[in-house]
Amino acid sequence: MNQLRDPDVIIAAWLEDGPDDLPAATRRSIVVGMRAVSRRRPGPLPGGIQMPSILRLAVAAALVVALGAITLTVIAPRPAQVGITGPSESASPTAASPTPRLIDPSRTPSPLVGTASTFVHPFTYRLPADAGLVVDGGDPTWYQFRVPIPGTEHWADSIIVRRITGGRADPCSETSPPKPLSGGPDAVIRYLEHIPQLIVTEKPATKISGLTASTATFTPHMKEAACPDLWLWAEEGSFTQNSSWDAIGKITVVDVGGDHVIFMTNSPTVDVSWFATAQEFIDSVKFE
Amino acid sequence: MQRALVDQAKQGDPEAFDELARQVGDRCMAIAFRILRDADRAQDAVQQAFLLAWRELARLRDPERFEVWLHRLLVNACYEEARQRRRWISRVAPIPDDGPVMADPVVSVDDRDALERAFQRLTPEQRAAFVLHHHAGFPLDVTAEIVGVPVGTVKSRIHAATRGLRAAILADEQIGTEVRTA
Repeated sequence: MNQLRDPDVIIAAWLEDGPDDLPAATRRSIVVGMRAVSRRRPGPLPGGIQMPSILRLAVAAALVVALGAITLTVIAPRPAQVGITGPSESASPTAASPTPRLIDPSRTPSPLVGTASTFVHPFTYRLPADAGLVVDGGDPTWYQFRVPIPGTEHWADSIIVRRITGGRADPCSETSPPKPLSGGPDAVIRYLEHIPQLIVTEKPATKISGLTASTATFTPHMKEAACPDLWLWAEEGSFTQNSSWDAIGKITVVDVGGDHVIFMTNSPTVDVSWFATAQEFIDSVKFE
Repeated sequence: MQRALVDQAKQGDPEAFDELARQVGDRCMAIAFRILRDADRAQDAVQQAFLLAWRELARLRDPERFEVWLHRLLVNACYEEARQRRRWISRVAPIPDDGPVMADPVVSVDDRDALERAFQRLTPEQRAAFVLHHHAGFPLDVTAEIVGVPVGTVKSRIHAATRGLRAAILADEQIGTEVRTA
């Protein structure tokens, strides 16, 4: 007789198995290492670091720009925000992401009509009725609309709206230099077509908010050791961390104010009807 | 207690920092091991995180956030370890050749092997989110803060990790069934 076991119980037991103590030798190594480490003093620029004059100039210019941006942010009137709070203080000296702290709205339904007011190019939208979409939060370069799986903390289908500044010279490398994508929305689709790990099909042109948009259907495939993840965009984040290999996705690209704005539609459950629902959302978008 | 130690360590007291390491070092080791699945690399990651913490601690503005901050350094150190050494050391539990073999009532050797291989296929980011939430017990918002991405992204990573691990168990189960019925 064969009785199927609960995978979650097995996973939990496996996860618990392993060392739970830091070996004394490692702690001694830390103590010894501390003596060799010179501590940084408080402040954005620790003393003792000699920078070339050109770098000092660049840092000073960056500070001036940053201060100007902060001043504008503080004095400018702010439109109402959709489901997000302001940026949180970063706790890490090495934190690279300026991602604002997000409210998890999965417990409350989102209004069907809304405004992505904090997006770099604000837009209004209408969520398709009965689609179960909620606004999963957003920041100036990234808005997420997802369908929560009832009774879980997980998500099914999603639409992600991003402002991208380019692709990557090597999409298989997280440290790859960026690749500029100039030449309208089509440049983004052409870029995707040249990535060996993507199958790109169906490229009908469309319009969003009266602007010409390019679209494509694509599937990541050929996952291998040399390319465990795809970093499609110049911005942080691996595409395949949020979408499975071999899952069908759709992309719609429109240029707004000189920026590429992309709508990524994913269906981990390969629910074809989802794409029609997502298209209804995309068609409702109006840039302000 | 910890707040006072953090304050002292911020002022440069090495004994206070050593005591902090004593208090949270085990937990860091447990997390690092489960992300990296290798004890040596986990020790390296913990050591790297603590030394960076010691170097940068004076710049931590809010001592109450020490633990989240330290875990962020730890996760970054784990990412670094994972990427520096892509070579995976499979941790299939060796079966002793002397004495009776005690069967694990929950996790068989086959399960363990399947899970290790499935975990290997996950990205370091997926592993970290999964371990921080399911092993260390951090809520989703704290996990998101530690790994520095939106909550939705953390959910996606945990979902992908869970799906991969479940699939490995179910595939292993199916193979076992087929072998038994053949």
